[in-house]
Amino acid sequence: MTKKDFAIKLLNMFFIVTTIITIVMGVMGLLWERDRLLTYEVMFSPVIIGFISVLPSIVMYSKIELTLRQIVIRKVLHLCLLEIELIAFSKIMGIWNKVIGLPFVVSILIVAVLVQVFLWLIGLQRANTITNELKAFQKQYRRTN
Amino acid sequence: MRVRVHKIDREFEEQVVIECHEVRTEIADIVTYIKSKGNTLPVYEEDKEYKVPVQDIYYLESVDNHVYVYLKKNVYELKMKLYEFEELYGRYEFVRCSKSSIVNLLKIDHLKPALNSRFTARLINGEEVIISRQYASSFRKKIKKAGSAS
Repeated sequence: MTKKDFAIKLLNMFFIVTTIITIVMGVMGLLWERDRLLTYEVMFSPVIIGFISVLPSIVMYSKIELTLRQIVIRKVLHLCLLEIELIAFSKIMGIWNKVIGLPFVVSILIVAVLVQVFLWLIGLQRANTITNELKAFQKQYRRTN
Repeated sequence: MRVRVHKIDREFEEQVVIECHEVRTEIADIVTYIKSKGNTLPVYEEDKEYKVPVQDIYYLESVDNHVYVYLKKNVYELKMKLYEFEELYGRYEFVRCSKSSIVNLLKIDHLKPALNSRFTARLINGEEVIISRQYASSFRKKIKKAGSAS
């Protein structure tokens, strides 16, 4: 994968992650801190968390083709880095406490899985487009040969 | 360019003769196209030689410096390098899909996504071939280019 393709992939992931984080924050807030009043600074937190969340994805970059085993190892490493990074960020920001600890860790995992689901759906859409182009090619080829 | 077709008796060998002032790109293209049509390839299974029609090949794979040809149900060894096959037949229905494999576009049923921006091509006989990330965009360009050329 070229650096440009990887950068585009990271950008896609950033927007998907930011959207999902916004939804997850809303759901978690409604469940555990329903009466809390927030200021406008909070509107930037999904964007900041989204940006930070995308950084560990750098471990997935490789100039050469990776084997399935290498991909799985890197994905596990990515998830571990993500958890450590976001837990550290929440502790530094002073939002970590015993009540939200476990739900926070679980929500990171859920967001990571949902991002992969969305990326797979994008891949599926691309695969379907290429399949349609292939069918057109096959039809044309058989007609002329 | 004038084209003439001369019918001959079966006792004579079929051949194509091109008379040209110089071997231009168009002439080379015609030569490559003719070579790829109606051809059989010599393949081997346990030292026995067989002739298989090129259009019956589903995909080729290089493993430990040996190239294997996969037909609908059978597998044979081809005494040719992958890049040599690609030079002969890569302009038309065959396309490189990874560092070690070439697939026949006419034998693909559909594509589906695989891990790490790769695709899996499911062939009409049920087998699956990986289209690696590195070759995915050139694979797509080839379909579009071959679709407009044929």
